[in-house]
Order: sequence, then structure tokens, then C-alpha cells
Amino acid sequence: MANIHTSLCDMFGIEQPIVMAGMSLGLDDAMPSPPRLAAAVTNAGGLGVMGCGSRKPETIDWCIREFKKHSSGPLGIDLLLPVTMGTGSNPETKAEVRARLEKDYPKHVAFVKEMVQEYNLPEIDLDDAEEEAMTAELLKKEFEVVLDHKVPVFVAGLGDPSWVVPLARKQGMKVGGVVGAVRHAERQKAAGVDFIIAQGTEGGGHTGSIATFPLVPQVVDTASPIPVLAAGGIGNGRQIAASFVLGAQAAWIGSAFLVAEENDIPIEHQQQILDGNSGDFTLSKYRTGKQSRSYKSPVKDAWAVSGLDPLPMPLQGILMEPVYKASRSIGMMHLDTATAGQVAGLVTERKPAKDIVDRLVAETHEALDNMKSFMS
Amino acid sequence: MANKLTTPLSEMLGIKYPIFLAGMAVGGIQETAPTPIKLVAAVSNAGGLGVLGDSFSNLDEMDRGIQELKRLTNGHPYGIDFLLPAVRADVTATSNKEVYEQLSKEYPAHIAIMKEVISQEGLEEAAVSQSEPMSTDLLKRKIEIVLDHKVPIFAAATGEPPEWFTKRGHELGIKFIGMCGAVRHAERQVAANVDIITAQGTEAGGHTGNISSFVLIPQIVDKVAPRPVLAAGGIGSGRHVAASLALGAQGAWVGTAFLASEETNIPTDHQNQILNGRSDQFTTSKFSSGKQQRAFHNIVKDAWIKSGLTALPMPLQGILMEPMTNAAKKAGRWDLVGNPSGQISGMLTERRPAKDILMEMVDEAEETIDAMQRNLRS
Repeated sequence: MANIHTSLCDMFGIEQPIVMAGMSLGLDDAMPSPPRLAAAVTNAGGLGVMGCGSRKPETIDWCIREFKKHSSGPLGIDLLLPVTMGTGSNPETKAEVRARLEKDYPKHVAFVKEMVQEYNLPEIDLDDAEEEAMTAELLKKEFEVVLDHKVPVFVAGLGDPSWVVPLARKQGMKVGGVVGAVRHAERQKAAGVDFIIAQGTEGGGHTGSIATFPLVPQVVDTASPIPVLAAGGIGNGRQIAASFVLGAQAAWIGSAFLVAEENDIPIEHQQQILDGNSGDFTLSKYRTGKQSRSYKSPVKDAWAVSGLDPLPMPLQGILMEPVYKASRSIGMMHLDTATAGQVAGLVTERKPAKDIVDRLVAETHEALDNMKSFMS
Repeated sequence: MANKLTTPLSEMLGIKYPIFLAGMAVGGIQETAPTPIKLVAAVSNAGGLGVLGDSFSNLDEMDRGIQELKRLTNGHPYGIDFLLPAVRADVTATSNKEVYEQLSKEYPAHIAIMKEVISQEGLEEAAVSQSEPMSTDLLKRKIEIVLDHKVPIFAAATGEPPEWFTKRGHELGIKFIGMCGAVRHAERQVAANVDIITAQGTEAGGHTGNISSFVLIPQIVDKVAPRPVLAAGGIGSGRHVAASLALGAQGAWVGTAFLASEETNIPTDHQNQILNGRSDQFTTSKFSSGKQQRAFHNIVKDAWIKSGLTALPMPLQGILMEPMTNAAKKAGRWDLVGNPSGQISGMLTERRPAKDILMEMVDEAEETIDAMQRNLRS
């Protein structure tokens, strides 16, 4: 039997080359990679990464403490570090951002009002007027929490992690970033990251346009000798085996863990993943301003026909809040749909995270063993 | 070291290696064909399976072309591939020119976009060809030629072969390959009784769907078992061939990588786009044929995106574009002519003989499979 324990496993201090992707889209009470789930993945021999992008520093602190209650093993935190943002360097409250949207982007605001009307959505009290919107300053505060806790693994889910590398290294942390194109990998390599995640367009959430098959070997060759994790479209052991074959040293897996029993996303979202076809998970910038893959939705369709240009982060997300928060509040989950990848088409069972990890490991061994028969 | 990469599929077809040259065609011209007879023969003779994308401008030429291919392959199996689109406009006109004249009355906005490119680029509008447009009757006559010659392999690049074709073909020993871009297509191909199913991911060049190879291949493998599956889309190295086998496929259907060969007839400018381009420069659009196609990004595509117009069904959209495409070809402006190739182009940098491309894939696939049986710790 092939030994699938790679050098990257040693770097992370884990047994199995299976890393749960840090996923962050979702409200605090419906996290896609909550502490209990991340701990379960780590306890099963993989690495649990919690997606904490756009969460408040105190929530990030809570996530780390909560993880430690359930596991003494390694953990990772994933934050979004966009290169360009629609906010300046000074703190700005959400109320201030909304006022700015009304003034500068009347057509965008009109689109949101149209959607609220079209689907009879209630006007909800967002109750966050004084909350700080995402700014470069806030990102620094978020990252401070990760530094203070010396979280073993830090991942930039998008953007440029260059500025965090020296800070993290001092704390003995390992740093990597998700890339969707070769030139992003070049930038991260130059910044001195410890590992790179090459994510194909089929991935859920923020993702690029190049598919895993053409992307992974190109990033492996560019990143060498920095180890690469394959991401996008990985939900069974055959896909993990194929990732190894393409030169990756581990798999970064998101959607398959969205149906874990320990997940906190809405049950309707899990159902979309369990029942949906691969073709139902489509790309759009309507939700966050950056290209992201999620289950189909009439709001997404309306956005596509509107011809509007997406606003930079975090403006687009704040713009859309009246639609998605209101749809959630009344359970209209066909409007605010699951963020997940094309591999959802082959995810059909809700299971405990440990069972998912065990299955993936067993299937990977089986797939690698089967390959022997092609060399007669 | 003697090569030993085999699968039940390569054994069934009597070929040395389970690597197929994808039949690619862009209009009926052998002189600029992606898969001309000499490339098909080179792949078949090197131990793979060459498939010719129908690039014959008429039925006589097709007949003579297959004879020539038979002679050059000297007993090695080969294939032929043409489109059998399920959704297409019903055409009764006898020439593309006649179709175009109707279109200019019915779709003035579409014509205007095309003409805008002509004037913006300083081209001289060219005539629409007199060739016979795709119709059910024409497809029937082409199928008869395939049957007459007992072509060993028939592949339909889109759509599935009609029942009478597979029935008569199977009696003659012809094997059929059907193409899928989604699981529901696989169900149709199985119902049409094809022998081999190609699962093609969105990253592929030319006509392609939206689901990626990584996600699509294992789903199709499970769906059509025990029928063998060919992996397609994004395959440019031996690592990809080995990864396809890991995903459950029994062979690889390789297009773009062979467009970097010495034997292809695509224009040098197009070959250079493939050798120098990045993966993300190969984007999808329906503007050139009416069906979603991946090709090198150009300003014609931008003009269509900006127009917001919906492409016409096959074969109308292609005919609609002819005055511009033909003018660009005449002026040597290949940057304005569609170059259907896939995202794997980002990995291709060298022009080489087809045999070398094939053998490097085989060698690398074998090395990778060997390496996988050892400790993965580097």
C-alpha cells in the first residue's frame, strides 16, 4: 500500500494529507467551518481550518478558544486579504458605507430595492449601523488575534499574504495562500510563503477561472520547492489520488465538509449540496464583489441581466445584505443559496466529519492501488 | 525501458497506448486543419489513436481523404469525428450564401456587430462561401461514407449518433465514441448505444460545457460503468494522463497538446497563441459557432459580449460571421479568427513532432504511476 503521508503532513503535524478548507461566507451563527467541525477534522488526522474572513476580532478569538476545547491538535485560520478594497484606511461604520452607496451607486441600490420588492422580502433591522466595515485596519486587527494565539497554520483565502509572512514567521506559524493563476503563485513564492493552495475554478466560494486539471501542475512547477495543496473539485479519494499524481502534496477540501453533521450552515443549504447537480453551482460576483461559486439563484440571474458592474469588497457584500439577510430571516433559502463547488454533484450523504476523513483516506489508497493495473 | 502503459480500452481497440488525438475541425479546409491527415497518421502510427476532425470541404474530398488516411496508417486503427448537434436550426437553403441573405433580413443587429468589426479593423468585407450548410440530409450522406469505408472509430463531437448509424456501424465492427459535458449527456449516449464515452471538462478547447474535468470524469465513470471512459479537457502531460486513470478513466482524449505539434496545419499565429498564452486567455463564448466554445480571447469576442446579443443556433451563427472571418483570413489577420484551444495552452511551450509529444506523455505517465506506488514523502 502506498504511503500517503507527505512532507507537507510533517510541516502541519498531521497524519493524513487532508485539510478542511477555511470557509467563511455565512453569518456567525451559521458558520461553514465552525470550531467543532474543524476540531473533528483535526482529531480524525487531518487539519481543520476555520474560515474567519470578515468576522470580528472577538469572534475570531472565540473560534480559536472553542476549537481548543474540542481538540489539542493543530488548527488553521483563513482570512481574506483583498489587494484592493472599496474602503479607505480610516475606520468606517456600516451605516457610513450604506450612506455612501446611496449617494455614489444609486443604480446598485435600486437593484437591491427591486429584489426586495420582487420577492416580498421584509425590511429587516440590520442592527449593525455602528459595526465596523472591513478596512485594511480591521484586517490587521483580525490578524493580530491569530498572531496572539500563535495559530499553527494561517491561510489567506484570497489576496496577498506578503505582509503577514514576516509577522507570522516570528511566532513560528506556517503561512500560505490560495491562488487561482500562475502569476499569483509567483507573487506568493516571492513573499516567502511556506505552502501554496492551487484552487481550480470548480471550487466553491471565491475562485478563479482556470480549472484544477490545467492549474495544479503549472502551480506545482512554479512553486517548487514550496509544497502545493490541490483544491477545487475534490470530494472523493480518486480526486485526492489524482491531486497527488498532478504533483500536489495534500488536498484542500471544502464542499465535502459542508454536509458534515458538525456543520452549522442552514439545512436547506446542505440539501442544495446533497441534491444539486454540478451544473447548478455557478459563478457570479453578485454576493461579495469577487467571483464566487454558489448554488443557482434567481437573484444571481437578475444580477447577470442587470449589466451592473460589481463593487469592490466590502461594498458589494454590504450592498446585498438587505436581500440575503432578509431572505434568510424568512427561510427563503432559494434566494440566498449555498456557497459550494461543482463537486457537490457527487456529494450525496450527510455524515460525521470523522467518517468523511476515513472514507477519503480509504478511497485514496484504493485509487492509488488500482493504478498499478495499468502497468502490465 | 519498454513502455507498458495499457488499459482494458487500449487492449480492446488494439492500440499500444490509451492516448487519443481529439478530432478537431474549424471549417472545411484541410490546408488550415487542426488535425490534418498527416497528424492523424502520425499519432496512430506512434501507437496512439489518431482521430480526424472532419475538415473536408465536400463529400468527394472526404472520400479521398479517408482513402489516404487508410494508406498512411497501414493497418493501425484511426477515427473520424464530426458534429451531430442535437439542437440546430433547420436549414433548407442549399448554400451558406443563401442562408446569409436570409439572416441579413432577419437579424440586422447581429449583422451590424459583425460589420462593425470589419470597419473598425479596416478589413475588406469578404463573400460568403457557396458550400452546402449542415443539414440532416448532408449528415446522412457523410455517415454513408464512414460506413462504406468501415472507419474503425467514429466520434461525435457533439450530439449522439442516430440508432440506424450505430446499428449498421456495429455490424461492420465500427466502435463509437460519444462526448459528454454533463452527467445527463452520458445517459443519452448510453441510450444511443455508443461503446466509449468521453467526459470532457470545461477547460477543453472548442465546444465545451461548464463542468470541470476533475468533477466530471468520476461522475461519468460511475454513471456509464462498465463502459470505458476517455478523459478530456486540460490534458497536456503524462501527469494528466495518469491523473485521468486515477479518476477512473481508461484513456485520454488530447486536443490542444497536439496543436503544438509540427504536423498540425493551424496558422502559425494561432500556434504561437497556444505556445505563448496563459491559461486564462482561453475563454468561452458562443459567438463563433452558436454553441459554447473555448478559444483564445480576442476583440471580436469583446464586441459580442458588449452587444449583449444572444448567439444564433448552429449553423446560423457561423454563417453569420463569414464575411468578417473570411475577410480576416484573406488579410492574414488570424488574431480576429477563432482559435479553439483549451486552458492547458498555459502549460505548452514547445513545438515538436506528434510522436515526441505522445511518447513524452507515455513516459511521464508511467514514471508518475511508478512514483505513486512508493512513499510520497519527498
